[in-house]
Amino acid sequence: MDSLSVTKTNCRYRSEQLDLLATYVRPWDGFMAPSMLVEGPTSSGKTYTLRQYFKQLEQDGQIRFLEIQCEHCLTRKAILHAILRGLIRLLGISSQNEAELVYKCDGLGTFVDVLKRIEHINESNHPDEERKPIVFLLDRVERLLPNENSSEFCFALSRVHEQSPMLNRYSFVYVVNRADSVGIQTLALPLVTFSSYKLDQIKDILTRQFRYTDTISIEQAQFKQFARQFIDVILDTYSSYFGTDIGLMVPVLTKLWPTFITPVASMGRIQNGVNDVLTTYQNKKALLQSEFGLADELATEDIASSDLPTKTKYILIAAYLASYNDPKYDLILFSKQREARANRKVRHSKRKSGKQSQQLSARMLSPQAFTIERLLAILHAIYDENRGEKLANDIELMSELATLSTLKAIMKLKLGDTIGGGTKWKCNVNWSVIKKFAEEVDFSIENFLME
Amino acid sequence: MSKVSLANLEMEYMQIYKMLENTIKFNEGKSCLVIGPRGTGKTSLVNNALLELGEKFRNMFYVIRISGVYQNDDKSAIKEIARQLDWHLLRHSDQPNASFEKFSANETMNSVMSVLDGSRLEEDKDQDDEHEETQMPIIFVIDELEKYTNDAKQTLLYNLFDVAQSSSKSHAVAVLGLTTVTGVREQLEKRVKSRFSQKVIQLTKVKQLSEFCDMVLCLLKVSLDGLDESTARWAATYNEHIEKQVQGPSELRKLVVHNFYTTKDLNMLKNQLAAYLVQQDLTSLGGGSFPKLDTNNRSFQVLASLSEMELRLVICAGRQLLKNSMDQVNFNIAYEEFDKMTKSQTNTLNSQLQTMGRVKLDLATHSKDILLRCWERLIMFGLLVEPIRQINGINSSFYTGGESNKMFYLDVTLDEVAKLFRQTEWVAKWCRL
Repeated sequence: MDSLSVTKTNCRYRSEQLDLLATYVRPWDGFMAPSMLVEGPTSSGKTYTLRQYFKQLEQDGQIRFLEIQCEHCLTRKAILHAILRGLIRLLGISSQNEAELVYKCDGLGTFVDVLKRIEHINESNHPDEERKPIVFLLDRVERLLPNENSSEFCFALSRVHEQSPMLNRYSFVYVVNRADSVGIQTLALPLVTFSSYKLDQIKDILTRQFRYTDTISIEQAQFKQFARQFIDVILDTYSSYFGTDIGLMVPVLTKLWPTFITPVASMGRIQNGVNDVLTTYQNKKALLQSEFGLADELATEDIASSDLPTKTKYILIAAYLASYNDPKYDLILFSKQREARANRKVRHSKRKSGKQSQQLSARMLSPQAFTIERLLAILHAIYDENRGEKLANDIELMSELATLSTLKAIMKLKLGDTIGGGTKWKCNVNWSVIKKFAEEVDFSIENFLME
Repeated sequence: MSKVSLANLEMEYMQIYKMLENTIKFNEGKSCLVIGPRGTGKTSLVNNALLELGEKFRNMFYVIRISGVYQNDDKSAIKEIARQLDWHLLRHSDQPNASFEKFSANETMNSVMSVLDGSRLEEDKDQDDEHEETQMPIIFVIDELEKYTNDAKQTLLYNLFDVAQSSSKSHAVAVLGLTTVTGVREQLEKRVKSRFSQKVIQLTKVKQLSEFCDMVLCLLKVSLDGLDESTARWAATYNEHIEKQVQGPSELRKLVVHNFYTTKDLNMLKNQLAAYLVQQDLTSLGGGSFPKLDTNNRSFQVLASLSEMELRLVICAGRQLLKNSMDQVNFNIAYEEFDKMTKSQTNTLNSQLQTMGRVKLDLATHSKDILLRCWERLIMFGLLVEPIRQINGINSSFYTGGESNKMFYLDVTLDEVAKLFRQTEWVAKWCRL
């Protein structure tokens, strides 16, 4: 059997893509596309299929293959280094040269030269070795840091073969979620498109992954059936969340599997109405409804207990008020003049009765910037009124502000000048936390928000 | 490397070939720009000429290639030139230590320029007697030339054009610049422009369908030269078959015409045809299908692969954008709408159920955390695009303000979603404002 049909049996439901892939990568005919794009949504088997195919080809001695996880590299330079290092090891060049060669490459400008050096060394090491094609699989190449410009990077790598006749055996395969994200349309690279698996196909694939162990004293066929039923039930329950992403399913399935298999294991057999999949599902309904399987345990609803001093809490509340209230209402909300304040409730309710249903609450939007003077004025107003004592305008207050700023609870929007009048600040704490603080210091924050 | 057959470019080929041949034969310095859109064969044209010259004048000239894609400024380009000269030196002399590359770019420039002025090679000759060639012509091929016009002084281009112009008997330099930018000549600085020999070869995409078909045929046909009799006979039948396919009504013709009237992209067509030919039955010359090429907006493809909850969230974000006539949306806003929609849906369902009997349905609600995760996935898929914006000089992505407050652009509109999921009932319902 040739490499293609072997891979086809290993990668189910992907023969169409494999056929197309084999059009562009045919080492047995001496034809290799110097670069190609593979696109498709997450969890459509792109990397898996490619890996299987290339590994098979490598096993059959037709090509050499190297996979690079670009997501872990973050920068272009790191990817280039990974490529070079992998290549050096693949060709069996001594490790002494490795450091020297990799060090020589400080970006795209020197990459080609280093590649040529490697080729040169390899040629002098093994002069009569057959030059096999070398395939680099660049997985998720679009997920570099935003300023790394992955499109320019892919563009450059697609031109490696044009730089020197020595480099014509390299092929680069880019695996991306969407081909437009790398912006190399005009190069018209060969494109293989993957589509999502159907739900039935996913179930089939997952069922094959369940490994039978004889610690559970049931027959293999029965076990398979049980596993299939389990997958059916769980996937159907959560299908609105999973979509077709196997990556989301597997952790949930592994988490819930013990719940279903333990009754079977303890009883030693499957009895309908006692421990089959549907009965366990019925019994554990509450568990399944509570998102136990989906939610991470790390992400708890509870806000970490606030052991901040009262004054700090007030500062944060003031910062929140400054960020989410328009300055034009400051007089109404915080004035010490009775007349202005007396009207507050009236105007407040008047505004509220308007077209409230259509209006977006300011709380939902991004915080507005404010100057430090405004924050201090609001802080004085609410602190004095609520605590019945004057807030000392001392160095301690300022250092408190500085601490909050280093904690990124309030953020400065400009580098440099800290206390200048023009410097803008923003509150970086969300509503639920502020609300909790307000409750703790017994401050009715809703009265001070205009919406 | 082997020659690529190109249709309709014989004139341009001869121009380039003659120019380079003159450089090698008569030490005539020249500079020339080849301008044309991607995929018109600029690089192949130059490569063909160089290959042919390489066969004819073996080891009688050097080729140095730099590319704006790799060496994106003058400094790295000059270093690359030095390194390539080193390579040539390595091949022709036994001095492994000789190097043009110096630590600083300026020194490298000096050492390279000294060669191009002809003095250094003569020195070499004094030391190295078996190396007879006094004047080795050098051909520079500069890909993506427009990258080097960004620099104010354009030092690299200035120097190269200058040596090319002042080439004499002792040394000859030819400079070939390839670029896709049509107005690149206007971008040249005036001193650079005056040293440039003003020779421009303009390649364009073909205007006539028949010419385009010729190019396709040139791509597909097999050359009969050097084949044994039976293979040649088969190749002839194949060529005939292909010609009939391209000229007459057929699937292949349809594809060619479609490509001609949309992108005129020969490379794209080549990729499709490759898949077609590979699948073809070679004895009967039949069968084979074309891979579908989806040139739709990629966001629609992504939409089709979303899970139900993600799609609902997209719709809610779209609703809020329309309702409040905003251009950006954050998670809080989208979630509020989502909450409202699911609640009203449950209520309608319950009231319907109540009229039938006294059943109350408690639909499973989804927590905010789960939906936030869906939101994050939408960002990852590129359906929600982060605006790149500067606030007082700081990139605003630096500022977070909590993940649920961050504003994003939605890459699709509600209309598009509704149109795409015409068949799905609930989507239509949710998309209605």
